[in-house]
Amino acid sequence: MQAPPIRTTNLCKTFDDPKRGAVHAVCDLNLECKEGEIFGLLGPNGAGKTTTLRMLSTILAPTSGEAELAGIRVSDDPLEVRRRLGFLSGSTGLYPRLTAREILEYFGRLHGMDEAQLQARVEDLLDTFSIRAFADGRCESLSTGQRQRVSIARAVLHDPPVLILDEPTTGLDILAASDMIQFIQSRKDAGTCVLFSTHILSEAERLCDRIGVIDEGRLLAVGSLEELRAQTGKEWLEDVFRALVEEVDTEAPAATPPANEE
Amino acid sequence: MPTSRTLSPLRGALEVARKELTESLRDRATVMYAFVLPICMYPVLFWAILQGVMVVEGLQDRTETTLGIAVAGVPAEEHDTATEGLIHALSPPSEDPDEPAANSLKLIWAPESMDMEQAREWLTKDEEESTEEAPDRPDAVLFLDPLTILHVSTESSSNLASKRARGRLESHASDLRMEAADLAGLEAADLNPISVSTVDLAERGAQGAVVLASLLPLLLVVMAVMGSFFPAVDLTAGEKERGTAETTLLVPLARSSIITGKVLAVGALGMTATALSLFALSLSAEHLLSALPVAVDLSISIPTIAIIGAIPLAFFFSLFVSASLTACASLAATFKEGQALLGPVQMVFILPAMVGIIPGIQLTYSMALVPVINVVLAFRAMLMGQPLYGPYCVTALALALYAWLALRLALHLLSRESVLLAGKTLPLGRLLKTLRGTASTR
Amino acid sequence: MSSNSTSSQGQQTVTLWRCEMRQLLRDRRALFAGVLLPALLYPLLFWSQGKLENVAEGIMAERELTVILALDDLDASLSTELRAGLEASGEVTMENLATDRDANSLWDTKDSAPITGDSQVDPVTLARLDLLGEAHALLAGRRSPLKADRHEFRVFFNVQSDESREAMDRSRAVVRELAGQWRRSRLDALPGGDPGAHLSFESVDVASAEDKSGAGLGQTLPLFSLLMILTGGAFAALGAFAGEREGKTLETLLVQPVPARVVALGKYGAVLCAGLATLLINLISLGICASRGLVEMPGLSGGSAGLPPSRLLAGLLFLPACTLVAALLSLFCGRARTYREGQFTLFPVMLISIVPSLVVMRPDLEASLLLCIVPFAGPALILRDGLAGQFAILPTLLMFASHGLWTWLVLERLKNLLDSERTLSSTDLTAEAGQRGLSAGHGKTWAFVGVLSLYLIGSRLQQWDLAWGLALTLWCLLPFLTALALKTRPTPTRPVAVKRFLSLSLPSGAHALGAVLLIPALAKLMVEVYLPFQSRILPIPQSVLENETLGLALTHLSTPTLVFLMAISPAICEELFFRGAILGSLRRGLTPMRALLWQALFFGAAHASLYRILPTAGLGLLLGALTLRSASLLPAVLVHAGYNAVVVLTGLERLSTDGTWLSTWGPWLALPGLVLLALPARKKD
Repeated sequence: MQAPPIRTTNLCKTFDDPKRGAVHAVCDLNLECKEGEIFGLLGPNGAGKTTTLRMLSTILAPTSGEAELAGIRVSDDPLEVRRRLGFLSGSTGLYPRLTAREILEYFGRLHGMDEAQLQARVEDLLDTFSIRAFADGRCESLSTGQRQRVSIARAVLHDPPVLILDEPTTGLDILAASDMIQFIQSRKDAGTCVLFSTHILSEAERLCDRIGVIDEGRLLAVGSLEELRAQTGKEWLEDVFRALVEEVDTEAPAATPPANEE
Repeated sequence: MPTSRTLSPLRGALEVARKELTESLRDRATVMYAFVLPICMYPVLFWAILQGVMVVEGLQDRTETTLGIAVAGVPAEEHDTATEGLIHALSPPSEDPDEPAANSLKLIWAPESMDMEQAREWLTKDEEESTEEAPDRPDAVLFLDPLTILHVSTESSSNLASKRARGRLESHASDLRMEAADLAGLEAADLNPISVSTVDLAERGAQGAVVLASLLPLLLVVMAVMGSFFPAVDLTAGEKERGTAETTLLVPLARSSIITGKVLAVGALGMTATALSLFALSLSAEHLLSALPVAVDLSISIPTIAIIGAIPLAFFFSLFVSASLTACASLAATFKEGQALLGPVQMVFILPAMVGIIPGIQLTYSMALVPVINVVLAFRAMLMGQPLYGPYCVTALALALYAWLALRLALHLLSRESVLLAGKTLPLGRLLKTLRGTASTR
Repeated sequence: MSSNSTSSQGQQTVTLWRCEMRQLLRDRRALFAGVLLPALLYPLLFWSQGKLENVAEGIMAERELTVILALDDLDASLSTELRAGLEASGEVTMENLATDRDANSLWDTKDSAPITGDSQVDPVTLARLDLLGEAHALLAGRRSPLKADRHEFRVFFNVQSDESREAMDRSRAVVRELAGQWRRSRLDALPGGDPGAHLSFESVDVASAEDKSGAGLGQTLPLFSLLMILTGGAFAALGAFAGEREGKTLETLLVQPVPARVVALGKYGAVLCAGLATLLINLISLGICASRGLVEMPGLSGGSAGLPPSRLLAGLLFLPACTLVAALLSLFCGRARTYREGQFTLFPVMLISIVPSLVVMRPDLEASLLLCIVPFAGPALILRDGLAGQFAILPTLLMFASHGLWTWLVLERLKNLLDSERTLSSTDLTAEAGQRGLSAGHGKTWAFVGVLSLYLIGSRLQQWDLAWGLALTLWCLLPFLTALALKTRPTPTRPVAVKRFLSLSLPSGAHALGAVLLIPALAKLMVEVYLPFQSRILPIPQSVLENETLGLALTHLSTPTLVFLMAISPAICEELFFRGAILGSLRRGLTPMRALLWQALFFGAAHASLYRILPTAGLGLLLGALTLRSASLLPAVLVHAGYNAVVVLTGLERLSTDGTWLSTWGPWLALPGLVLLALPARKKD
């Protein structure tokens, strides 16, 4: 039996903050995403979304607990994990002084693709994402939308089975954001598992097969939109979200992580 | 899914270095710093200095100075016959009265007899106090009997006047002696019965190499540090600032490969900048020397051993410098802070280099273990044509070891999350904690 | 109303300044690195430098040295005296030359002439380090073979060893001491005694100790002050200009109803304050260290040589330099778009300000009226003299006025820089403007490359052989550069043919004739009016005049060769490069006036001499104007060739124009020439 593309067990991340002591950015997070599923991580700013995604993509090491990608523990073999993973964030993270083509070639080489195969793949991507027209200009001169397309091409260059997107539409204009949404949907058809974080409710509502609501480092609820509606008895996602957050606050103030004790 | 295979760590590091270099060379600022500045700075600087010296000399030649002549007892004018030769030597009559004479020294006779104390007052009195009868205050005073030149060392015109007076008196004395020797049937050489000359037994050109040895090692260290400084900040703190640090970490390479690649890129840029500065410096130094009116024979033959031996040292040293600077710069979150951080760190490299050029300190086995000083000393010894093979090897090994340690440090620092993705530069206390943590995890 | 607005502008400036200062003070890390750290580091640096020097001296003094003596040919008394001298000079072990050595071989020389200075000994016979063995130097002495009452000494040493050099120094010093004594006795033995005896003089410095330490301080204080202002001011300027532009807050500021002048002034004020504060803190720290004896600093160390506090007020004389350097910092950082870019500008500012102020190192240099207006050199000299108790009112006033003017000019430029929208967003340029910028940049870059290669390569060639070097420079280097510049010129949307780009078409006859008619007047103007004037205010040093080699090296050439080399070749090749390629690029990017000025400046700089910059730049201006006027290079080539020929030939006295009708009436030909040039061109460019 095949391991799920993404699974976390009791994932925790604690930061040392000189002013506030230990801060639990993520606490006991349990999550599982299936193949071909779009999973949305929904939460306000500072809820721990980015930390979770960074742990999954091996940039941060978990304090405790485990994160697995396709059955591989991120702490055991981060290289193998990175090889199977496409990561993308709202701040596109492109090298400003390189051209789009150079960036794609660079990452291709680092992924160990051989030259002929790499060239074919790059040409293919240039067409798929309509980058060709500006493929040889430096990234610093591209518009945000163009940059985002290059960034996407970079993330899917090695055709990863898992895509992790950190607030992919933040900072994009309307057209670029809708391009992004279309892209995420197209991935679902290709059978890729997509995990993305957002604080935009309409996006989550439209795209996600399942939604995880996260606040203050804890996963409050997981389920499809219908399940969440049923759980809270609210119609709109906005209300669902508010209900979930308030429920925790009133129910168990003692259960919140001892982060702010000072 | 396209086949992907694991790159060997070295291949990966080289790939990263190549990309970092491409990126750096695209940056106008880096290109200016690493290429244009080294090439242009020395020629422009030397030219400016040369022209400045010319202008200053030219102005100096045309500055007119005055020399007061004072004597005790006899009225000054009556001394005229006795000291005619002296006076003539001090102020030869101008050939062309219209043309202002160069290096002119106008003589002013003291109106009355003066003793030394009065002459002193004549020279130091304030302008305002001078009365109608008293002649102008001279720039310097020549007191006859005993012959004394009085000058005020804090006044530029006085220095100039006394310099001219001294030179003319000396050359007059030497003329008189020659004449007298001639009359007595002696040769000029007979007046100097003892002559001494020095014979340098070293090869031709060694003299130049020795002059070079006192300067070049320090210069090289400074250039290497300065050359690596900018790329080090750019590839670490600059990357954080540009928001690409995360992207870099996502490549399927071990972090050690990524960091080694960065260090290699920094080292390559630093070495290029050093080589170029050296090239431009030698080119324009020769130009400067040739432009001087006096012919300077500075044929420099750098021993072949120095050139061959310098290469491994330069390689390890620049690796050591770039790894250390990269490690330090990686603590900063923004370019600005990286810059502020590396300023003092630079000093840590340059100060020991200054110790290394003290004459008399030699490369011993224990000295060969001290970083920076060892490379300066080893290089100096080689330039002086006295390679010390044992300490040299120790130096090379020690440098390689330090380079490796610095690389490890960079690696340890950069694999700390708090350093790697820090949004702001760590405060000092926290930095120490991080470092301690690093040490304990080792 | 206007006074009201002025006062409100003043208030705005103060508000802005306050805000900047507050931001600066809150950046604690930068404050520490920029202001306080130097205050700790510099004393440490000075202190350790002093210590190191002591250590270095100590090391050499303690070394035990071995000197081989080969003095058998000398009288016993003389050699004893020498041994005693060496004994007294420090730890010296003396050995005698090994008996198996042939002492005579020490005196082999290529030429038998008596050696006075450092000898040129045949390297083959003597380049044997084994002569010394374990010893550090060999001192050989003998009676001169020419005359028995003369003695010759030789010190053999190895320059590559520190000890050997030291041993040589000591041995030589001992012999020299002896030589001095002997010389004196010989002079006294002359009939009638030493004829120069009455000329031996004593030199007495009558300056007070106070003045002397003031002058000593004056030699270091200007450099130190500039360095401190640069350190402190840099961090402020980077934050206030480059950092702010990067952080996009400058845009916010510029959309406020505040004139750009106010913004510039307010920020400049903050930079100046930061610089002055740094300077003050560092001076205090240095003063404390000096008074404790940690650092040796003339004038600050207290005691009898200490300066009275009133004398320290002379430091105020340096204020104009401080304001100017702060303004330059602001201007350079104001040009930078990002913090990083700003960093690079610091080094040039440092060079520009520090190099001229090095003139204080010459104690015999006067703060003349001309030097007073030279940026940084003037204030430095006046500060030095002021600390030494010298104060001249006219140069000081002139210095204040000129530096006020420089500062004002720089601030004006800074204001324009902040005003122009193009610096706010570099991407919003129209395609045409971008094209123009590219073209201008290309012109300037290649002009700079040309100047640099002429300076580095051309002058080397000419040093090797003046005539051939000149020919190579003109016919190979310059055409090569021209071709490169043409090859790399930016391709505009409507490409310009090479012929048009270089203005190679033929001019109208009237223009060509008019240009030729200008030559006599031009030559006369230069030789008889301008050059005498320049030699008065900017005299060429005597030593250079006496060493004049240009004329000598070329006199052997025949007149036609000379005309070809010095007139026709430069006319063709220099015109192709400067008026062709460079002006061609510049005028497609700049206004005609600016293009003319820039190319003239580069043309002047290419002659690599301060004495020739003005005349050649003036000539370049005229030639450029002719090219633009006639849309052809030919008039410029004709004038350049004619002018050069006249100047060179009269200079070498091959051509005498005195008394001929050409010298009397020739200059008047310029009038019809100008009329002809004023005629409209045959075809439009």
